Amino acid sequence: MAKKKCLAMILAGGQGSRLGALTLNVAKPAVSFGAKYKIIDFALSNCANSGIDTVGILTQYQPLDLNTYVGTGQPWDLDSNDGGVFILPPYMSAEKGEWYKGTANAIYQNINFISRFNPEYVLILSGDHIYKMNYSKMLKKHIENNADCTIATISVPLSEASRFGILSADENGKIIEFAEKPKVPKSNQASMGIYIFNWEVLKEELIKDESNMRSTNDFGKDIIPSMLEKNKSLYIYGFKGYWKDVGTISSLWEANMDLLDENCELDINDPTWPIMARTTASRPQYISSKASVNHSLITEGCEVEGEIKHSILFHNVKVGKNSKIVDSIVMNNVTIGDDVIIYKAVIGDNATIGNHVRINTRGVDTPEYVNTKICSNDLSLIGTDVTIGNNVKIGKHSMITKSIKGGK
Amino acid sequence: MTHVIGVIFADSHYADVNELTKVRPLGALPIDGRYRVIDFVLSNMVNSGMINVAVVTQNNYHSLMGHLGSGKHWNLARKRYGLTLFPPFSNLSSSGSDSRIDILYGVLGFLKRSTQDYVLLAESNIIINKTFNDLFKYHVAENADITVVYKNVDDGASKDAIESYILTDDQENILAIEKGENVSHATKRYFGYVLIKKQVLIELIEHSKVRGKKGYLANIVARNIGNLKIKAYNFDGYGRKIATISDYYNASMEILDKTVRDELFNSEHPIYTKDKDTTPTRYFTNANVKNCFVADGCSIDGTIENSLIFRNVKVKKGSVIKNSIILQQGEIGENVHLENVILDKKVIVRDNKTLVGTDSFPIIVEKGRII
Repeated sequence: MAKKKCLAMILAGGQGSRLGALTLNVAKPAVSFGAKYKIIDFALSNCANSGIDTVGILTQYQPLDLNTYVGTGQPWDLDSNDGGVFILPPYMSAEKGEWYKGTANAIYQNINFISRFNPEYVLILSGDHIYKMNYSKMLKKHIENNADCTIATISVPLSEASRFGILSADENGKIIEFAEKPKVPKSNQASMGIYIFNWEVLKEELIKDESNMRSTNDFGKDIIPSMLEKNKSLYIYGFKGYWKDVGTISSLWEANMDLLDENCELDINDPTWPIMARTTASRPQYISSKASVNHSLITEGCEVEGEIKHSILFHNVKVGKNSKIVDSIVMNNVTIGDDVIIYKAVIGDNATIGNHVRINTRGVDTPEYVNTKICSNDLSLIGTDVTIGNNVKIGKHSMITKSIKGGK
Repeated sequence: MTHVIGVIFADSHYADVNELTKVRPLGALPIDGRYRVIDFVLSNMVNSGMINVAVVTQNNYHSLMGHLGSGKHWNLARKRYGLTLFPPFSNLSSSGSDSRIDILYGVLGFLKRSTQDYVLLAESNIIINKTFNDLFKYHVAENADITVVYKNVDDGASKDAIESYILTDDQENILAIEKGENVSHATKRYFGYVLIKKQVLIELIEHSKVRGKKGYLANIVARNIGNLKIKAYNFDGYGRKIATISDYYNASMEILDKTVRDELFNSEHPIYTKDKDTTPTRYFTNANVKNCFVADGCSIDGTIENSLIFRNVKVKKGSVIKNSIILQQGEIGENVHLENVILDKKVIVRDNKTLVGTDSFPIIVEKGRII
């Protein structure tokens, strides 16, 4: 097999439990985003646009949707003859079989897969970030620095730095210290969870880490500190641009709303860096003579008869007459009846909303549905596949995971 | 229906849509927001289970090649069979604009090589969502040599010279095929599809070619009435043939009707087309869109009514568009007024311009023009 310069491994096994009712049946990278996309489209498109043609996707939690979505990798032009995209769930071997214990262990369990391509460098990515990044520039820096490992970083406000893994580096970018969620951060450079390693160095580290019983087998907590201890050559690669970890309902909603800003730093309409997605053969959208649509993003297959304001409608959403949707994201195949009012909500894929339903309208209070752990920032969340019957009212900070029967 | 080869004629032999087909073959004519007319017949074939499809073209076939590519968007990029594109000059005697008999003679090798026993000869300009499975069942059950598809039309309708009509007995045996101008009473209008036994087709092509015969329906069907078993088959439901500009305009406007939309586009039998990673359509604060069919990738800040807007069209504020069809990558400036117009691809209309046609004579602006 042709030798690969660099292959990418995407960590896509996380449940994303803070996305609540959206990730009961799918892994976080498979959550819908921005009308046409899934979260993992950004990492996959970045790989394809950066010239990386071999990608392993490490799955663990609810991998079915992700498997069928990624398929042969054809939508990202990753269906190549001597590379391609590979879904890598944990597996049984003759001696033992176990779940991926941590991010590093997930790569460790796939050493044979990576070695098969004999790469010089391995790029480790998260499947749940929204950003556009040219990994080939980062690789070029990595090679110039003659580094063992390069970690992409982003500047964060010092006041928020204690939420991140913070890297301190010298004037050449050589990393001096790594601190996971430090109380007193020494720098504002936060790790994006994007690493390039020399494969031979990483392989050795992974094998050692695995034999260390006390290790949690995590890149941030174990591998990076251990390499720093050994005085390996680690560098930061400062990334500038839009980057968002959409780990919570509030950040997912915000990242979607960012797209509604025409001056958004994340330009999804850049022909030199297309965000590619698997598309369904949906017809164009139909906006009826009764509809009113402003300041919104709408995609194929939608049929709109109501009022849409500052919202995003994903594929095949139907909105009935006299209904009003404001500041909301409505995911794929959702059907919304007539005379419905929805403010500031996230409606999961395939949900059905009956007639005369009110979601998050003023004066409606439904403590029985409130889940402030998941729904902060005045948001309400209707879960995937849920049916809300006619006349139901749902207040703010509600999370609906089961269907609600209609009333009078 | 894996036993049936599809042969699609993407040429404009039986149509007059000149203003829109100068730059492209009829099959590549953009329609309904994100499609090309050929997508319908191709998707119908694929949805019928056909896996061996040839598309034959004449002049100007580049846009069609760009659209079809390897056929992967129709699941026809296969190791065994799949989509084969036959440009003109694929045989030595080709002139680049050959008769249908010449074209078929050019693909004779392909037909002989394929293991399928039947051939579905198809026009590219039929807008319908219907599989060919029932047609095939009928053809086999009747043990017909040839089955010609027709569509019932009102007897009072004007008989266009460009259309052919089928006359049958009450058992649907074809007695004659006539041009519209030669018949006074006829309701069975030829609807673009002929299903034929492959061996019969090969013999008819060879026979016609050596005798220098050119006519398609005349040689493949009409001349054989009486000698071969030739049946007629009705295609009911919504279907339109795009043979004239007014066909094109009317069929486009009909898509604003929900029943037509739901019949043409349903998830059970998708109409496939080339996927372009287009972004969602963006509606700005001044957007005022009513009764429109809008593709992805558009930026809309103006007023649009009763219109079809194709991919990546930009409409700036203050502009009003009514009863119009704006093809891909159109750019409409500020305070423009458009009514009853068809803008071909990449037309730019500068600020403050007005173009008003009528619904029987829409104004057509050629590809790439700047107004």
